[in-house]
Amino acid sequence: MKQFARFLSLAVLALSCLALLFGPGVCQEPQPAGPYEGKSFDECLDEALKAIKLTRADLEFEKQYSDDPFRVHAVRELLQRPAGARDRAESLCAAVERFHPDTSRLIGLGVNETDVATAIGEEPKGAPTFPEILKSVYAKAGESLDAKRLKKAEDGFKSIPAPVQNALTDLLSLMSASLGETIESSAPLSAEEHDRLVKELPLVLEMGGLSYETAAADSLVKIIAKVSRSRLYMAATALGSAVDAACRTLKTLPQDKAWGAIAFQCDTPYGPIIVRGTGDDVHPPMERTLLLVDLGGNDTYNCQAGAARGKKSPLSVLIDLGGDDLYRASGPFAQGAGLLGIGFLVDAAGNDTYLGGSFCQGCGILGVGMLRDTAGSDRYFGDTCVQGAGAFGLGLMLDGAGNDVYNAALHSQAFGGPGGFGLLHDLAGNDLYSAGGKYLDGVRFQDRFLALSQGCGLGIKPVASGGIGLLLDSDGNDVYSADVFGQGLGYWFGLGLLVDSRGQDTYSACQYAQGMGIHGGVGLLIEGDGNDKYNSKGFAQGCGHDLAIGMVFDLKGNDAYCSSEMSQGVGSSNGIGLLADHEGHDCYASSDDRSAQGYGNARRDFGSIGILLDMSGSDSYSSARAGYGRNDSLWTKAMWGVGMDVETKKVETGGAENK
Amino acid sequence: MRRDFSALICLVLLAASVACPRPCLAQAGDLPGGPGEVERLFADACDPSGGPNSEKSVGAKRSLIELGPGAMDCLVAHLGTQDPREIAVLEDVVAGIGAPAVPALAGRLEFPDDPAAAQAARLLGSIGNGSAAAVPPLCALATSGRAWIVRSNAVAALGAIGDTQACDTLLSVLSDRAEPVRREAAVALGKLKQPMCVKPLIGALADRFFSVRSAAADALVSVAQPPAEPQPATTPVTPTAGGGAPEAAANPRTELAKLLEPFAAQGAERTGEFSEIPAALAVETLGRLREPKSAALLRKLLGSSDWGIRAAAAEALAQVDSSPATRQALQKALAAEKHHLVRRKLEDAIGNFQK
Repeated sequence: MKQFARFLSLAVLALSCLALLFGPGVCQEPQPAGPYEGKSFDECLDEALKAIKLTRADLEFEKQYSDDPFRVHAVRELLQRPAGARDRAESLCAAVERFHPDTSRLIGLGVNETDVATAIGEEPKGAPTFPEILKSVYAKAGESLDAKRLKKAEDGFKSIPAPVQNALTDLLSLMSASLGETIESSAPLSAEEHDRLVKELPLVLEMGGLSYETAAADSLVKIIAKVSRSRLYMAATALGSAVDAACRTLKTLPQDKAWGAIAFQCDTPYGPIIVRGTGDDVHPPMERTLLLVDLGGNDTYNCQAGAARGKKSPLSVLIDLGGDDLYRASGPFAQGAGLLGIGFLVDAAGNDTYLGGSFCQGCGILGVGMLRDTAGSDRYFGDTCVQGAGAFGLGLMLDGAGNDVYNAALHSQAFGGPGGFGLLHDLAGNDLYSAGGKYLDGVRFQDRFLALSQGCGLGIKPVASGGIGLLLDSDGNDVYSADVFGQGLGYWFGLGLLVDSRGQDTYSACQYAQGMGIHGGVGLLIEGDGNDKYNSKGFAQGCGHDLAIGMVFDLKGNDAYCSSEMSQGVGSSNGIGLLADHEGHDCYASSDDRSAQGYGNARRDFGSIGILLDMSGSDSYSSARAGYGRNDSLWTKAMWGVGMDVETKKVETGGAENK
Repeated sequence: MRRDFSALICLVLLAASVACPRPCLAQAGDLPGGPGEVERLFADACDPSGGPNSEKSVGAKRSLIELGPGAMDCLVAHLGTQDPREIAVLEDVVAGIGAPAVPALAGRLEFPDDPAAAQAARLLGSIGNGSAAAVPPLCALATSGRAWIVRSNAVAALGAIGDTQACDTLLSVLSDRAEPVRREAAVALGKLKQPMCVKPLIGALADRFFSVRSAAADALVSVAQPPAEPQPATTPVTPTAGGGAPEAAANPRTELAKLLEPFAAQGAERTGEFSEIPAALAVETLGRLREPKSAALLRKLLGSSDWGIRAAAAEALAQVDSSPATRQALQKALAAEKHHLVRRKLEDAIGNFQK
């Protein structure tokens, strides 16, 4: 018995040693590589397409059944080569991040994307003095300044500390040159045409989005063609450099007590030139200003400074160097806006509040508008065409650090109308974007509102193709809320991009949103890091309708996609829809299993292409109940829908911690 | 005598003109059916204030239809419009007038670079076989139009008219440089249902674009189906090879089988232009023909080295055959199959047997 016990203990010991020697790492057979391990997105896409008997070349079928002079090359390229959409969008975003906050380079980017040929303008010769500049501004209006008023203005300007004077003189010198170019850009217009544009163009854009498919728009477009956007953009580029340089200089100047008392103002035919010191100033209502520089303090702006509007006010610049400021617009066109002109607003620091109506906060309508708020947690409120909106022009909205709130009704938050480029770039912070809530949809819903915002390229059908709307949020946990149409939406040959690089983000919309293309448009939503949530009723989350392209790329994180129908990789009426989730354990839910998660329908004697591609993680699909989506599976639906769930990453033992 | 008679006629005419006051030249257009009235009616029909179904718009369209070909002479001036309302009104009016509208529309086909030609072609197509008289100019437009939209509309119209005179033209544009034109050609050939089109349509299964491939597959299925009723307007075209003796009428099933035989044999996966993807479409098309004779080949294709072809074969087999041999083949294939999609298709096919 003892011997047996000794034998047993020896056997246990021996087994223990063997177990230690050939433990789990050695003893187990290495896991065989899965069939898709290490495969690229392109390889997976090819495999998915093969399941519906297609190749990547098939995505290049003809989609441009009409044409017009406003179609931007990016839309042409993407309609021809949809497979290159993500690369194209990412290269545009890389350029924005590289150029931020360089105004002239960002304007150059918009000019290039909207295919307007410009040349490098000549720099003004010599270094004009303040009186010379003032006289030249008067001369541009065909007026002269009498010696007495000139002397008074000169003396007032001399009261400003010399370093500030020098910086402002340089800025004013370039402003004077840009003023000339801006005036010349609309010189081919008759007075009647000019007035019609100033009056009717905003109306066209205010009319509730899609309802402006009218003959009036057609005749306006013909007048618009007479304006030299090339000259206008040249002027804006030069002015952007000058404003940036002035801001840099003024920020580095050592402030002293004398700055507090600065109070200079002199009139010009295009509005006054105003300089205020570091005190808390209240700027009274003013229809127009040529230049307003406030060197600091918590200020209140009740004026339309930083907004240009037609020949009476073709140029306007507002620079605020610091403090928690309140900007309050008393009417349309304010806070960095341009209509047949150029309006810039730069706020260099502080937690600011912007209360605007329509056409403000980085809005260019046949003009250039820019609002740059460099730092602080800011709040932006507006109505139509605000917060980075360009139509036949460029609208730039740049926000640096801080947790910001963006609120608008329509055509806002990176809106590219015909021939336009609208950019909203938020560098960092946990931000809240909301759009809609004012203009009733009516056509589709009696209780939902149009948004057409948050990365929206919109054309006037059938008169003019849409432009480019790019909303780029580089960091932070953000919340996006839009009603009908938005969040990476391209409509009538427009390009809408919503790119959020990092953070745990939440997207919610009613319909036609989240990587949605309609009528030849291209809509993309690109999500970088983070566990994200997507919520929409339908026609969303990678949906292309009517020869259009809608795509969502989510690169990382455990994500949840929720919708009711026609969503999550859907092609409709010869459109292409793609939802590609690269990593993470994801959940796909839809109330209609048939028309979601890889679905295409047939129109015009052929089909549409809908692809859902999940390249990694342990995922769940609502359409599993109908026999479609499953983890590690490939499923097809007629004409031509496909879903593919594969594992391209090496499977690690230990389970899914974040599942 | 003759001079006196002429003078008398002149006098009578002069008297009549005095006795019966007529509108002046400026007003002549407002006569019933005159250009002025047609324009006014067209403007009323397009009036956006009440919408396309307003009483005013519907009434104006009805009046234009009643004017018939007389209205068309004026309305053709609006061809080429981009205004969606005008396009819709033109479509409604032409559909209402029907065949009498053809001469006016056909007259606009003579200018292949004119956008009006594209719209005229589309409207002729909407009239259907009532536009048979326009087939020759449409054939010319289908090959000579500079813009693809013009050629594409002409080809679509030829398909809608369904006259076999257009067969040669449609076969020639099956290799047009523009994808929409090739697609419309395949669709049109499917409507004509001519056996001579089978081989070119099988060639189109290898087109670069799915839209053309899919239309060609549909057309092959259509050609294989006998027409629901005899078509009195057209006669079948006798196929000729280089003007020589007529070829035997091709059968879609046998031609597809010929194409697919090499894919059933190991080590010979490609034939000519056909790669695995169009071959899988050919397999699918074979299934859609629902001929049990295809079962043997399809069973062999279950062993293809390409998973796309195997998946298509499983799906096709379920449509053509329910014999024990096929069931056994499907079960054997399922036991050996590793690919997700093919397994799913095999399971579905076996499931059909159980039903």
